Order: sequence, then C-alpha cells, then structure tokens
Amino acid sequence: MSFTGLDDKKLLRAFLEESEELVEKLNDNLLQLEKEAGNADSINEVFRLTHSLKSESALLGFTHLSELAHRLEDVFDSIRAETLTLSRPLMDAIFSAADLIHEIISRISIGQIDAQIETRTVIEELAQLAGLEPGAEPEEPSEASSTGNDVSDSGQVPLKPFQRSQIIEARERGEKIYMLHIRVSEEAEIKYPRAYLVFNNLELITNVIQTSPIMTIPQEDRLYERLSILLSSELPAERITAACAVDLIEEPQLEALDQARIDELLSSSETGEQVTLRTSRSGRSARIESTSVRVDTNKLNEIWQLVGELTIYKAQLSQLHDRLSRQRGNESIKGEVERASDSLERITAEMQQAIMGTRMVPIAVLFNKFPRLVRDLSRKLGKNVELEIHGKDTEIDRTIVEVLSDPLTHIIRNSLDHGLEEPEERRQRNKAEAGRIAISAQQQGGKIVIEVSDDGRGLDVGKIRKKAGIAADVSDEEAVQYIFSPGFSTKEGVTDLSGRGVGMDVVATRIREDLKGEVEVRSESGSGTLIRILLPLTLTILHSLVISCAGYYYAIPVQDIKETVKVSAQNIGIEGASEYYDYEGQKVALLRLDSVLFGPTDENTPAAQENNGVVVEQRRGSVCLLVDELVEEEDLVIKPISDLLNHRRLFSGVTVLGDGRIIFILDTARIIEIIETGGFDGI
Amino acid sequence: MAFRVLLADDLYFMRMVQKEVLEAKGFQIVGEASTGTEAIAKYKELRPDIVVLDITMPEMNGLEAMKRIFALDPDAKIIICSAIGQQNLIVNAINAGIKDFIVKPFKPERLLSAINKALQG
Repeated sequence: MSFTGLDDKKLLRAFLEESEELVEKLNDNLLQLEKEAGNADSINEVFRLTHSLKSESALLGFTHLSELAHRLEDVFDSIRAETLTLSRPLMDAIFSAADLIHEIISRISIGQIDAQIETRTVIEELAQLAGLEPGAEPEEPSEASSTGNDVSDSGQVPLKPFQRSQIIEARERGEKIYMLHIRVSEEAEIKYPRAYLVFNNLELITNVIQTSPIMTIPQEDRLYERLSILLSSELPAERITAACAVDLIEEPQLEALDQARIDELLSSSETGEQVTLRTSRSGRSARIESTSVRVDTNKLNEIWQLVGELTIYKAQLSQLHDRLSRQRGNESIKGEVERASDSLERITAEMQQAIMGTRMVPIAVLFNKFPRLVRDLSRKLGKNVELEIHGKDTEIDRTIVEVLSDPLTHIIRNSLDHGLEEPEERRQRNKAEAGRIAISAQQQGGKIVIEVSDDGRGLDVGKIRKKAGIAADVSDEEAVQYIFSPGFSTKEGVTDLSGRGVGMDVVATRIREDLKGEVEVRSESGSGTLIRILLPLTLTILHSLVISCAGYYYAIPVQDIKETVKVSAQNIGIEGASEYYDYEGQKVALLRLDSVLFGPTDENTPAAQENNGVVVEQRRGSVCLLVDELVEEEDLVIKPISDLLNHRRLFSGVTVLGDGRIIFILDTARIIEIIETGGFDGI
Repeated sequence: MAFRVLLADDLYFMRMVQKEVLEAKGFQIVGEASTGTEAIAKYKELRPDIVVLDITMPEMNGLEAMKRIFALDPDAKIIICSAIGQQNLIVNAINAGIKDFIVKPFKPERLLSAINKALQG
C-alpha cells in the first residue's frame, strides 16, 4: 500500500464500504447458484461482482485480493461460456474463496496489508477444480491499469457511487460543479508530479470529486499530459484557475457545469457493462439506487444531536412565552411569539421525524447475513435446514442493528446446534428431515418485534428447573425464562458452534442493557422453540413523563408506565418491612421515590391524603412509585450518563430541559430488579 | 521592491547560476546555504520571501530542511530542486506544501517562471 496524497483515506473508506456490499451480494448470488446451478442471472452477477472487486482492489494496490477476485472472475467467465460446470467441490472452493475475500477485506479495514493472508492454497484449489492455470498472470496487464478508469466513448469517466453522492451533497451545500481541463507542457520532463501539484493545490481549496487519470496512485507518466478534474466549490472561477498557476501548466480550462451536464454525469454508472446489466434486469432497482445517497453515520448522529439541541431551545421559547403571557400588555407581541413558538414546535417535530427516518435502515442489512451462516453451520453439523425470513423491510435504528447482530447470530446458532435434531432423530420422531428455522421482524406499535423460531426438540424444562433450582409452583412457561438469567447454560459440553460458554444469558444482557429491549422464550417439548425480542424503535429519543420529587425533576419513559394513580392512605398496606399499594385488588410494591433516591425517611405515612403514584411495569414485575408531582409528558433526547453520577445504576440516561435543568431518566427495570433481589436497604 | 531569495544548494556552481539568472531579473539574493542545517539557520535569520531548496544536500537533506522551515513558518514559500527519478520525493514535498519544483538540469526560464508564479499565489 504505497499511495500518498490527501484523498487516500476517503478512497479507502469508499472502497471498504463498497466492497462490503459487493461481498454480501456475492454471497447471496452464490447461495442462489447452490440452489440452482444454471441460474444465468446469478452467474452474470457473480462475474460482474468479482470483476469490480478485482479492478477496485488492484487500483488500491491490494494485489492479493485482486488476484483472488481475478481467479473467481476467470472461473465464472468459463461457467458463463459453458466450458465449465459448477460441481459441488467447485462450489465449496468458490465459497472458500469468497470467505477469504471477506477475511482480507476485514483485515484491510483494521489496517492490515492484504499480503499478510495466504491466498495461494485457495487459488490453487480453485484453479485445479476449474481446470485453469493457477498463476498464469498474477498482475493485471491491461484493462484498469491504463488510466485506472474505464473511459466511455464520450471521454467521460463514469462516476463511482461515492463520487455521485459527493456531487449531490455539493449541490445541496449550494456549491457549483466544475470540470477543469489542464495540459502539462511537453517541456516537463516528469508529468505526474506536475499534475499532482495542481491537483494538490485544488484539493486545498476545493472539493475534488474525480480526476482522470487518477492522481492518488501514479500511472504511466505520459498519461498525465492532460488532466481532467471534476470538482465542486463555492469559490469564484478565478480563484480556482489561480490554483493552476504553476510552472509548465498550460491552458487551464474551467467550465461550470449546468444542470443538464450534471444530470448526465449523475446518470452515468460505474461501467458500461453494468449499465446494460442493470437496465436489462429491471428498471426499478436502478431507479431506487439513483435516489439513495451514502451518508456517514457520524454525520447523521451529529444532525440528530443538533436537532436534540433545537428541541431544548424550542422548549425554552415556549416557556418564555408562558412567562410573557402572564405579564400585562404587549398583546400583539405575545400573539406573534405564540405563533412563532407554535411553528417552531411543529417544524422541530417534523424534523425529528424526518431525521429519525434517516437513522432507520431495513433490517435486511442484518438478516441478509443469515442464509450464509445457516448454510455453513448446517453443513458443518450435518443437518438439513430450511431457513425462512420474513419482514426484511422492517425499519430499525442503525445503532440497534450494530448491537443486535451478535445476539441474534447467537440465537440462530443455538437453534441450529441445540434446537434442531439430527436427521436420524427427526426421522424417528416423524418430522420432516429438513429442520426449519424462521426469522421474522415486524413493527408493533412503538416496538420492533423480532422472532427466531425452530421446529426442533424444544427446551428441556426439567433440566432447566433442576439446574436453576426452580420451585415447583413456578409454571413451565416461567421456568424456561431462566435460560436468560446470568450464568445459566443448559448444555454441559460446549460445541464450537454455540460460542463456548457464551449462552443465552449473555444474549439477554445485551438485549436488555445495551438495547433497552426485552427477550422471552416459548418452548414446547418436542416441537420447537421461539425466541421473541422486543426492541424500542430508537435508542436516543424517549417519550417520557417528567415528575418532580423532593424539589428535583426526573423522567420515567412512558413505555414503562402502566398507569398514573392517586394513592391515598387507605390504599396503602404493610407487609413485613415493606409497603404495598392495593392496585385493583392486586398488591403492588410501593416505593417512595424520595427514599429510593435520598435514603429512607422517618415516617412511613404519606404526608398528604392524596399522593401521585406512577405504576411502572417490567417483565420482572411492577412497582408503584410515589412522587410529588406529575409535571408533563415530553420527547426527551437521551444522552448517556457517566458511572460517576450513577453508581447505583438507578438512571438510564440524562437529558437537558428547555430551561437548562438537567433531568435524570429513571431506569425502572433496575429499580424493580433491586426490589426483587432484596430491596434498597443494602445499597 | 525586490523580492528576497534564499538559495540552498551544496554545489557552489549551481547557486552561482541561479543567482545570476535571478539577479538579472531584479531579485535580491539575501543568502546562500550549502547544507540543510545552514538553510534553516539562514531562513530564521533572514526570513526571505522565497527559498530555492535542493533536495540532495549533505548534513540534512532538502526535504528535512523543508519540514523544519515549514515548522518555523507555515506560510514559507519553498521551491524544490530535484532530479528525474525523485518523483516520490517531489510528491511528498507537494503534500508538505511546496509551491513548485524544478527538475535539474533546468533552463533559466523554468526557475524564473516557477518563482514568479509562486510569489503571485
């Protein structure tokens, strides 16, 4: 990796993003081919994907990756030409090669050089099975090497997706798009550094989108006699041409592109080959692609935070309005402030909705990994498995997707490894020999529901009871939930698949603590297991009830609240050392929030006849919290809270109100957990 | 007012040629250096408008001297003298912020043109 220049990181990042997508599509198509070896669409698609991967990685100097992709491309070229058929061993070798490509890309993404991974064995195996020469031409002699770009007939190099999005973003920033042509004088003995000097000058003051030939990796020197640079800038044209004012640079020609030219650029695709493939396959997918833009998650988070701050000022303004309206006079100003405040409120709400939309991604990004996972595992285990996936389009917060990936993978591995029986056992039980695993996602109200079910043997309730020492009066339904309690694991011998000792308890902790979600299991002996995960739509905004207690304000997430009640002295009973509230004939533990937060008070009777109570409910149980006042319901933008301020972990986050007051968000699950495990005295 | 130039090259002959060319066009050569170390010291002392710096010099080469000068004065105007075959060094120098470069052997107008354009920018 010997490239220099300012653009490298950007280039590398774009490569990594794109290649990840390529690998995913590659896997999808290979799986398709495994089902249907003659599928011409998939064969063409794999050929195209490996071709792109080869060219892009060669461009960045990842020769091993490029070579591997090249071999695959050769194999699929032969398959396409029908001089080679896809045998089972060849398919396996192709999958190994695809895995290795994935491995190399992940290593590159953490900064390793691709040459550190051994590719020879896989390449040779592939070549042998395909009857091709293994090492005929390790380096690319022609094609992408001449200019590094495939130039179309019109002379315009087609844009890469990230370059296209750069244009769109630049337009949104109100910048002009320019095409700059320069010539390096014949007198220049070496042309590349001279072209580079101009390129560098431009990079310093404008946003260079594309150059032809490419600048970041030197090509043959004579190619740099002419250089075309596509850039965006808000600077006047003279400033841009001034950047070309160095020795031996001739005739800089700067052209501001009009909308028609920009549209033309945007409609050009990566390679001519792809254009034909895409349009012939379906016009619809091409259209969807052209309307989406790749955005850095950090940028989205930044916008999200900013809108969060906007809501603070919105609240501040409406409070100012309240104060103003209590004063006499200035009626016309009051009206105007009210209207402005209302409009701001409406727009902020809409903005939150819109930005929330950008944070959401279809859960397909996660689910699409599973066919491959299931295939590999089932072959390793000698089990025959059919996988069903539903609700791929369900949208979910991207931060949740990242955290959810591991636990969900673990659940699926468990189903395969422990849930589904061996083929022999299934035959004996009169079940279809192929086991079934279904993964689904859907939105229900304010929650995302994800289910993983299998038609395997189900959980061994007896064993769970014995291991966890569960009392006889606990129902089977309740007992199976113990697989989620810390330290629990039913299987004695750990196979290498289920993740060595990491059990469902760890899965549950991640879902509950990191995702603020819930997980539950249903199981029927002999006929299968279902794991249901409930997740909030997003982690960063929470519709909450603000309450006051001992002069401070706190918030309780509305999703945790069952009801707000008036608690009078006669509804309160005492059982042992603790109080309970008689809630429609049921005894609900009663907690005075002030004593939870500030230590026990002397008297146990409520000061007033009527007290405000908030009944909160979690899977573990319910509690009625006695508070001073119910203040208001609000959408709060939650920020994480430092452990220093939260040593008892009673809070799940913190937020800032319109008037600058800081509000802690109560972690009701934790409060209930403390009650269930012995109360507040010990902490 | 004449622009003030610092010349740094280990070859006396080279500096002489450059000096002649530049003085003929009204530039003022305020100092000369024959090593990288000397170039830095002279830059600090004289604060010239522009430096013509040879890449290959004893006691700290031109690139190292260039970096130190930029550390002293981020707005320093530097032109590098290089030879064919030093493309990578030139690209590094461009990234570091030089205004232009000249490839040896060079014609007088190359030096003049490079310096004039660099001083304009």
